[in-house]
Amino acid sequence: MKSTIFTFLLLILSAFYAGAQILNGEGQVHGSIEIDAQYYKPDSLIGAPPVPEKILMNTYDQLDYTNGKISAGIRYEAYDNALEGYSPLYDGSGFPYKYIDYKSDGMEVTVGNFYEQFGSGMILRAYWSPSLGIDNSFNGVRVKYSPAKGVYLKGLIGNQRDYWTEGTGLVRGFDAELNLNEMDSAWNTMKTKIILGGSFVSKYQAADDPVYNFPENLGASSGRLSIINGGFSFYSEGAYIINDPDAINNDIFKSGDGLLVRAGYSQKGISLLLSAERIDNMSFKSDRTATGNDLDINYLPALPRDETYQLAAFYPYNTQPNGEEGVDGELKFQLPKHSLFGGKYGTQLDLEYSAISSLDTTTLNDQTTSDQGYSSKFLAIGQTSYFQEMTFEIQHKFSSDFRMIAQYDYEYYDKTVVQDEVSPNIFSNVGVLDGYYAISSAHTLHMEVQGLQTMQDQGNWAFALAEYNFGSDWFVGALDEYNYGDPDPSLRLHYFTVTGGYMKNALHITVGYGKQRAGILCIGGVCREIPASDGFTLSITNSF
Amino acid sequence: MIIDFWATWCKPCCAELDAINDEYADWQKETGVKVIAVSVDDPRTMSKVPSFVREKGWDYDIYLDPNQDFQHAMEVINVPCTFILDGNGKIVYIHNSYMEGDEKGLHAALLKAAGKK
Repeated sequence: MKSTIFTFLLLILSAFYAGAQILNGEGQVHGSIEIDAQYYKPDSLIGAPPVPEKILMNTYDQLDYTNGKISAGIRYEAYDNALEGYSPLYDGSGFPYKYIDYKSDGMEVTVGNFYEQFGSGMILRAYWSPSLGIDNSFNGVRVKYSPAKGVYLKGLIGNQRDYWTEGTGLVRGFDAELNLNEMDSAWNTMKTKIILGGSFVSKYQAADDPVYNFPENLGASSGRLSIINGGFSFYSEGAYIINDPDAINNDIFKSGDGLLVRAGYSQKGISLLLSAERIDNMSFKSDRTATGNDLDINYLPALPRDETYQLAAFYPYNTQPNGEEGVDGELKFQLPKHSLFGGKYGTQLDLEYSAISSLDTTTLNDQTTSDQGYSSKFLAIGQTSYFQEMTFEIQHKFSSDFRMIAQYDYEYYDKTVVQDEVSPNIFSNVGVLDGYYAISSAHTLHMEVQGLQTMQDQGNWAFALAEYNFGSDWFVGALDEYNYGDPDPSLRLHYFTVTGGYMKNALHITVGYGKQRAGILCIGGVCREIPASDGFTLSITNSF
Repeated sequence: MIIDFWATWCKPCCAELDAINDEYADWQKETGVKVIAVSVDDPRTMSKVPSFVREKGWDYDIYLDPNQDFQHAMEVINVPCTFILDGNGKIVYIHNSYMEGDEKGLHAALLKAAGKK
């Protein structure tokens, strides 16, 4: 008996030893933990519904192992049950992400689940964003190969994650990128840097619709070009999707196209960036019946800036996959150090303008055009303005301990289109004052005051935040958002929240109590998106 | 070596990189440190990064991580997130946030990693 156990142990040990030899080197284990929990109180005034479970929790826990050419990883997710603002389809737990990856001699093979992006993502982007509740990873195989200097090829095949199941549509993609300066030694030293890229993506989904004759196989392609010469930069990407009837475009058989152009000049202290885009019928999902953000194969970048201040982000823009045209211009300028207004550390000025509008379209008779839906003129701008924003921001560091940011924001917002909710068009003005003061090396104070003025929607808002970091690891904060201008006096409510937390190395623990609107929130110098809430919150993140 | 995860839309990240940039020449002289700034800007903002950095006048090595592959590999959940790697490539310091004055703690950790303190 004894010897059997001994043999068994020896076998395991030798297997272990053999394994270690193949891997040839010391393995490394890394991981991360994220737990977000909330206790919910119903509040009919702010519209927080009763939550039958009272307490909800999301957790994402990842473990990765790397050893020489091989790496492997697994992620556990549990939604017990999914936090408010996340789809209840997430309820439950499991291991939705598992992969093995092998890298050698310019080749990389990944089997299992993986994320990928071709160019700027206009025809393919699989990514994970827990704060947005998005995970459209592929389950399949991906091969990356670089046959020569400056030549990068990628090929993949797989099904996409759909909450705890997989989409039925099969996705195949191929991407090639040529970095001309890396390819040729004569080009290597050239000042002009040129990168060319092209992708093709196809999807297969069985079709048995009694009314429509849906295409089972269909493809999308895109090309991109990037040129950089000193301070000048140019980037453009064009994409085309063959007729792809789906739930987003109301099952029309029109082809889709998209174009993004970005050109800029910059040098130390100044930069100008101009962008334009056109998106026409660009929804591309691996299931033609999917809605919302589910099973997206592609990603359509939006032009307007990401607003980080609570009230400036009150009316955020959302890309319209069915059609939009837009422009964006951004000028950044630094008043140099030791100049009249620059002070010791310089002053940063930032001016940005964005405008997004509808396409110029003509509705077509579906019977005679075999469900083309509409036609659109390529460079003509449509009648309806969806969004306009002008932002002016000034940042000044008064001393090594004291820094302030002031921002003014004017916005026009077609809420009916952008949020798909019947509403008058909204005109708003937002002002922000943000200050950071280091009292001593271990004590820092952060304060914000913000105001939003509008005659529409919920009227005027005011916002104030104070945050105090002490002992370099601890922080406490309080914020209030006050809807003092609501047209209905009984709805002029305060959204008051207190928070406290501890952070050491990668460990971050935050507890909070109060009411919050949905938005991006920065606490303790960290930014993330947070859904609307009322009650106690607990958040723990750590990594190793 | 310092690896700093940041994004153009992240105000604390940019404040941290600005603060480090003010001291960077001194730190390099003291410890020979190199700062690698990894932008996690998504496709929406990644093509803004080169001109953003040029205008800022940052002297860092800038890398793009538009689909967050490196971010996930380094187990970074939120930005800013700052690592110090010692001469053997071992992570000796992680800091996950930025408040005014945090660069002093970073500097102290850097001196320790370089064996100067």
